[in-house]
Amino acid sequence: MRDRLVFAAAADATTLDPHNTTDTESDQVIMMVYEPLLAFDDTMKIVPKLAERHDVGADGVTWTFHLRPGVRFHDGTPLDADAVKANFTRVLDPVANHKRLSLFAMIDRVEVVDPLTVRIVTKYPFGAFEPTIAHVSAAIVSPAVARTHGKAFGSAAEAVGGTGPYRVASWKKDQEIVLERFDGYWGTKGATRQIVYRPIPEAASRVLALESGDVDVISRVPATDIPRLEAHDGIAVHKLPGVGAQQFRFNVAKKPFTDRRVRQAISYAIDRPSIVKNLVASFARPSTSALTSIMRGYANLGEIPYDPAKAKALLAAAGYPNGFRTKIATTPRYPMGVELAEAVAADLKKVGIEAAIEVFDWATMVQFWAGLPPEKNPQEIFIMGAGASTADADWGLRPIFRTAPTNENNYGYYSNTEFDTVIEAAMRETDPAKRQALYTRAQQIVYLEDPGAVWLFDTLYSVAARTAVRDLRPQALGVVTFERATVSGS
Amino acid sequence: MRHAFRLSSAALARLVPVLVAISVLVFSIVHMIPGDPAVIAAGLEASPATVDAIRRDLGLDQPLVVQYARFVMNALAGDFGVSIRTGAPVGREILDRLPHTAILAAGGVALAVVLGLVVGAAAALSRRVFVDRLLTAASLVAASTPSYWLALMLMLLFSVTLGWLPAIGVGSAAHYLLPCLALGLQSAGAVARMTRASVRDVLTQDFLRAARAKGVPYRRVLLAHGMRNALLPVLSLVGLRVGGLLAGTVLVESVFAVPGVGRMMADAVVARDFPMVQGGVLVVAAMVVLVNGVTDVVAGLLDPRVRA
Repeated sequence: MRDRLVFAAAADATTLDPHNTTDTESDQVIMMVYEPLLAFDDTMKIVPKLAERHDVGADGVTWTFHLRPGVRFHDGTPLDADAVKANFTRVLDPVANHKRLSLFAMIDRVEVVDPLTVRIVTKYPFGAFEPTIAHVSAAIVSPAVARTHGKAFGSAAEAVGGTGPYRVASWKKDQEIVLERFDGYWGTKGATRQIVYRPIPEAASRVLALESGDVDVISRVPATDIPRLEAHDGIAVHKLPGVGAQQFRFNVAKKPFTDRRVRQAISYAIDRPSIVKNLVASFARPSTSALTSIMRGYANLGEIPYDPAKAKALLAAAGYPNGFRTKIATTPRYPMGVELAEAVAADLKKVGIEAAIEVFDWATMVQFWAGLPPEKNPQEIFIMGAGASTADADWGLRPIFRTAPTNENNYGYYSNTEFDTVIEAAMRETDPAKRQALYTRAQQIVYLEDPGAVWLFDTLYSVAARTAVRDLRPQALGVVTFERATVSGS
Repeated sequence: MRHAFRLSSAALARLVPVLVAISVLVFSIVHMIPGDPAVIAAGLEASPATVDAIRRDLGLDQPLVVQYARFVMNALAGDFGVSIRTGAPVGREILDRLPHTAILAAGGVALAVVLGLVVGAAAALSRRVFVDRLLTAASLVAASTPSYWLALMLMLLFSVTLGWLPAIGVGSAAHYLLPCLALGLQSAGAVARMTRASVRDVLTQDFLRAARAKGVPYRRVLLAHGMRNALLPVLSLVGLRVGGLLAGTVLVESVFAVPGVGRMMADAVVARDFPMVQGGVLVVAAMVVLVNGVTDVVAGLLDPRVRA
């Protein structure tokens, strides 16, 4: 067994402060170093982590967490109820304004009951509270280290402190992060002594580095290389269904997309099986709902059939028998982003819709999604990658499709009164069966009856590794962790 | 030596207006291209309140003139601000990465000069047409090979197929070999072509025939009189090439995962990390101006006419 595993990420972590990051490359290091009170297992079920058990009061707002005794942070300070309270105070601090503040907006207050019991009271009953507490940004950081480093917390190896199975031994920016097994860990200790994260931005170089043996595991495997790597003797590609999906969204505030029949027509006009087969077969499955199959609250509504005749009929009914002109905005940041737009435009042309394609870089693209009022947003149809980081229907639907004055999260100004009512009720519903019924209804509305998007496919999360590597943990959230991973050989 | 001193102070004096012009240019360009750094920094799941707070924190809500004035005042005090993406001071981020880029650039230039001179001179002096043709063709191919493609091919051959050299990263001298090759080969081709033309030209000059007629040995005529004169155009070519070579580090550093300034700037542009872009461009511009100053000084030492 080697005592070191080298992983090539696509980018360096931006920060190792879990409360202040939203990018995958940071998250997957954070998951090795810090732990939340709850966690997801490999089937996305909620399991205990730093809290041994928890319960919710009859009022639906009082959550009590019983902490695991004897847990210590990497700096030696103990994990107790005060530390947990300090963490939620930190992430909810309006002045510090950490990037993850809005995720925890439902929390009213946090109370210390005794050294190992902490109570979190929410402002209203919140059905997705457990996945929120299991989210990587609910990870508990050492209050002592956070206090010492203030704003610089998470920006360097010494300014990091969690309870996880690995601690940060060194961090050379853009070069490597070295994680070292934490011997004082409360649970099963890490299998390999050192995990090295080496950022390789260029996709082709990542693949070559894996083939040459410079690295053991790579993420963000280029779609075009997957078949070749799968055929490679010493290399295995691990794929699993995730929270990610690729879609084209409508600007519902703009004519003719104000008419739901136009949106339905576009949805039927697109030949998804052909697109998936010809462009993205190595990493995608056709969508079957507005959520992906592994998410809590998902309802299988089936693939949307390819039916150009029905599309034409719907267009005629909406008053566009000869189609219309529109534009599709896309970005190469999404795998095959430009090719997908071209395929969609070609299908639309067959039902009389002329779509011009506009390609933007990521920074320009997100400008259109930054809380603009409809009159300031020129986009009509635009590409969008979905992926709720709590793997739950609430975060996957509510911010994205609930009526809102600007497009801060509801990028296409989607608005449907019934949907709004259902999604609000579902958010406050803590009974699992009733909750599921509400979310099924919400998906029927937004996926079929009054479509908010063209759902193309669910993305498989893929990681390529040398066959000497065992027990990797690729996760549906689109991250890979290495707490059990080993590398055979010397 | 006095001449050298005068020339170097002239080069330093030239640095100031160039840097001022570049700072204005870079500042305007980064603020003109679409894309809001606060939006990117906040991430897609963040609320507009978070974005606004970040924008205020960064001073991006201030008028451009105020932002520029603040940037210049701080830069004069040696403070280039903090990176929007990582929150770390830009000066430190650049200093951490500069050595890698400096090694690549120096290695690339050295390779270009040595290989270019040897191949170019060999082609010019060769008495066999076949050798001359071969070397000239090879330098043409080298000069026209894009560094991005070359980098991947080198990696494929030397790391994947042969397994002789590490494919990516830094850590030992061997790590720098392929990146320097990818970076310098194109310039080596250009230098070889210039050297060949220049040596051929010098060989037909009267002063060489005069030296030969005086009885100076052929080898000495070539090295002391011929090469010295042939070097001048080559030297100015190298000086001009340094800018392009540093631009090449953006690609080469990304392909070989070298944590240098070029890759840092590429990432910074994508994230609209204004302070990083501005700091990085200023440092690289200063390097180009300084290297050109050095080539002027060396040219002065080689050629008395330049000193005037």
